[in-house]
Amino acid sequence: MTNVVSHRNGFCSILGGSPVSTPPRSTATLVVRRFDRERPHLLEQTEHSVSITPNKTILSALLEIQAEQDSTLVFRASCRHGACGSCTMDINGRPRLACSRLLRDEVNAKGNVFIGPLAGVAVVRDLIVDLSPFWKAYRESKPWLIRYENRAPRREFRVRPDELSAFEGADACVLCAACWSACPVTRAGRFDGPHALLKTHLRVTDPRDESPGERLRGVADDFGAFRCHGVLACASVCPKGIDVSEAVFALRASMTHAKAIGEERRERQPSLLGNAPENTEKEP
Amino acid sequence: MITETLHHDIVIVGAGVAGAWAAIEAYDAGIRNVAVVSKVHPLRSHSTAAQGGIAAPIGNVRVPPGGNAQTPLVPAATDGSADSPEKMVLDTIKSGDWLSDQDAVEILAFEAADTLFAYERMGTTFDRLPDGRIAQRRFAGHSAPRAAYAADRTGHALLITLYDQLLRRGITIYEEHYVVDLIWEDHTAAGLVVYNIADGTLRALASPTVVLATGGFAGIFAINSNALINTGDGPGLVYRSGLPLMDMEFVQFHPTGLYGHGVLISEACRAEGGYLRNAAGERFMVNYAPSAMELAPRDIVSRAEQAELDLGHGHGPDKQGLWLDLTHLGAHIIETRLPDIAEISRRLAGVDPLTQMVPIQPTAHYTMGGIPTDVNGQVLNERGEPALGLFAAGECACVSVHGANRLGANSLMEASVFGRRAGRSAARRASEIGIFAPSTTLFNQTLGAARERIQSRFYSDSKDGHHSAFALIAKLKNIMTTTCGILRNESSLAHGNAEMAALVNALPHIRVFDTSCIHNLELVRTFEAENMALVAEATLVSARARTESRGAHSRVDYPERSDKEWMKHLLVRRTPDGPAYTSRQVNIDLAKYPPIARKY
Ligand SMILES: Cc1cc2nc3c(=O)[nH]c(=O)nc-3n(C[C@H](O)[C@H](O)[C@H](O)COP(=O)(O)OP(=O)(O)OC[C@H]3O[C@@H](n4cnc5c(N)ncnc54)[C@H](O)[C@@H]3O)c2cc1C
Ligand code: SF4
Ligand code: FES
Repeated sequence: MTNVVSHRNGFCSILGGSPVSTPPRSTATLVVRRFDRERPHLLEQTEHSVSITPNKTILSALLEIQAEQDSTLVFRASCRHGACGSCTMDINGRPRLACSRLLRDEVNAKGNVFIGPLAGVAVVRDLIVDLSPFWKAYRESKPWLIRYENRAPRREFRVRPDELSAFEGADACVLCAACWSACPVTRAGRFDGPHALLKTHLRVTDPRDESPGERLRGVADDFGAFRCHGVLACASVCPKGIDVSEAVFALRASMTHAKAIGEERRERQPSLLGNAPENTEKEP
Repeated sequence: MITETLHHDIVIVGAGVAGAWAAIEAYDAGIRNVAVVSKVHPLRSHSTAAQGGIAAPIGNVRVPPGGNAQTPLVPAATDGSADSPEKMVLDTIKSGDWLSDQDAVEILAFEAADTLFAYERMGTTFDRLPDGRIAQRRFAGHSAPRAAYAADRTGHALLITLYDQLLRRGITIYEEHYVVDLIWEDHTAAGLVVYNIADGTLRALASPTVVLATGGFAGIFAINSNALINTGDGPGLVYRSGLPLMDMEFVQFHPTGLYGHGVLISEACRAEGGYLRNAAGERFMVNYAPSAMELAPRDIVSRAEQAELDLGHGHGPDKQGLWLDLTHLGAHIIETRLPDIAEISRRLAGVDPLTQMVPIQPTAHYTMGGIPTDVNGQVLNERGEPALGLFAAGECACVSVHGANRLGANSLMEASVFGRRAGRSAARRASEIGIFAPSTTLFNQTLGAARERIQSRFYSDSKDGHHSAFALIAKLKNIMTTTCGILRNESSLAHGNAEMAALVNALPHIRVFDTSCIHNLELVRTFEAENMALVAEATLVSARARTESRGAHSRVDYPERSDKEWMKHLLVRRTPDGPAYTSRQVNIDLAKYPPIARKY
């Protein structure tokens, strides 16, 4: 471990031997990998001692460090309870939501927690990474509902609960990029990515979407669902417990009968309207 | 710093449900050059954290005859006759303790169904009834099961639907851009100054219409349920411009925030039969609302909790904790109906609610007050005249639908309905104006001034009298919680006012240690500290001025609601001589909605 002493706020660094000890310990050392494009040579890693309290999360610890020890430590965060997907970072070598992990569960026997930027993506500064390829892949999957028919019900489309459960929690995805980071294929080159394939799966399964055939053809290319090597890393890291790989396999299985799915979807349309198709939907 | 001016027809600040809807409506009204500015990626906006539901009186389900509050709901007639907008209006006015404006509430209730179905047609994954209609659940204070939902992530389901629609339309999004200043030309909004958080550049956006949809500001309290980004930037910008803020004293406290975090433990835990206990293990609600017990409305339960804490009946190092006891409910109810609560308790508090009590405390949750607007989102000045070109919607605005106390599930709908209306009005104004050519000198001056202000923030050698934004924010939250919390009185508020005045004076002395141009969050916190302090000041002075108790505003020294003196909105604005107050009559037909006392 390299300890680089920084000039920042005068704190930092070598916190002499952390107590070798009997649990429960009262302090933890956060070992944070740092990066600053403007001063790449200045620091690689800082160490910060924080007290452990029963309900302190990694995010609370980072906020405390930022406020009290080193105002130059930067990271993304918003909701504080695993709902917004902002605070994904590498915690002890795994992509995690910092707000949803307790400090006391993450310290190792020596009292350390290792924090770094999300692996496999370009680092912008400290724990902030460049997710633009991730968002681009999402956008290019045409995540919005596609409707060609302009008939719409006066009230809601009739979507049966079993049709809803067919997409298996895909709607719980908070786009945190943990799967994107863990996936060896996204790292190796162009790939739609688990999150975009998951959204495609959701749209293909949603009876309101009129483009399942095209969507399936869209992910049948070299960068789509077949590029997945079935490593299952995505599913194992997803903080929302979504079986992302299952969605990718489902897409592959559907491809062979894309045409039939498209026809089925067309046939489903009138019954989606319930009994009284009345309004005309305006398409922008 | 590089500076440049970019031109748009409409600029919307905020990409939560209110801002996203405004953008979609403006675009669909034919204005193509719409831009959305958000200080975080749109999907990280606070709207995504809303859990429980969105209210619309579509009457898809009903309580079976003879049923009570716990009876499972059954599908209702397909014509929607089980509920009505009229009932929703009445519930909202009652909950708002007669401070809601009837015209706004009627618009909310009558446009809610259309808005809900609009979401559905764009693909929102609502939960469904067996026949495919949208399912609805009960929500406290609603006389019918009115909240449509998507599991326990309703806000997320709505926001991602809107985000996908922004992408579909290719609407320009300035993400991770922070709005620093409003630009005015002849008392008319002319644009904004934005700071690009990612690279430190400062730009002006020229636009004849600006829509503020910056969300709530309960983040000014030490314990709150809000996202870290909810810092009252929109109201802060408006207040700084000399325009008034309205009904700022009304802040909703939720009875069950996770102890030490403030993160929300949803109301469902009490609806399912959870108990509240003090440190001694007593179900203290018996002393405050003996019949409704834990199911009394939010403001009443929060007040009871505060009274217990003030009596020293709390647990924890600061004696501010109480207990939420779900252990008697059994694994089945907890795992099937309260999975989110179980998850949050385990992940964030390390407590298993099946066998252990969950530590909780009341948490600041929702801000009813904000930027006064008419029902079309047009921002109003202290005389009720339009501040031309400026619109506001969502939690940062005060229309006022929620009056003195918001009804759960109403705010997502309010942000949606009025976000749409603000987008349409902005579009009308933008098309009327046509070509917009504001003075370049004005833009250069404003940008120059902003740049100087920012540069003066950076660390100088002399350490005297300099403050850190982080320390000031922590102090500010502490002042708000201790002096302007759930229970207020003249002496606490006077004290809070004095401390806040000192804090406002300290603002210019904040210095930023971090010199980086890339994601300089210390600088962003500095911008936010200014807005938080101004909004906190407005809240404190308003709370002090309103000498009655109404809805969420509870004065120990004035425990009664005083309709004669105070059935009116309080507006406060900044002047060189301190806060100046004006008031506006509540728009309500008292013959139709005679004021009654809220007793439970
Ligand atoms: C935990 C929790 C649960 C809730 N559950 C429910 C519920 O079940 N039902 C319900 O109806 N309501 C609920 N609410 C309330 C509801 O979520 C909010 O009132 C609503 O989401 C507000 O939406 P908005 O669009 O006004 O603002 P937000 O979603 O808060 O969006 C604000 C936007 O403004 C941007 N912004 C702010 N300042 C700046 C700046 N200076 N520069 C640039 N951009 C800026 C932000 O980036 C963000 O995009 C809940 C609230 C909380 C705290
Ligand atoms: S699928 Fe899971 S891991 Fe991947 S972005 Fe969505 S929530 Fe994150
Ligand atoms: S801060 Fe929102 S997921 Fe962690």
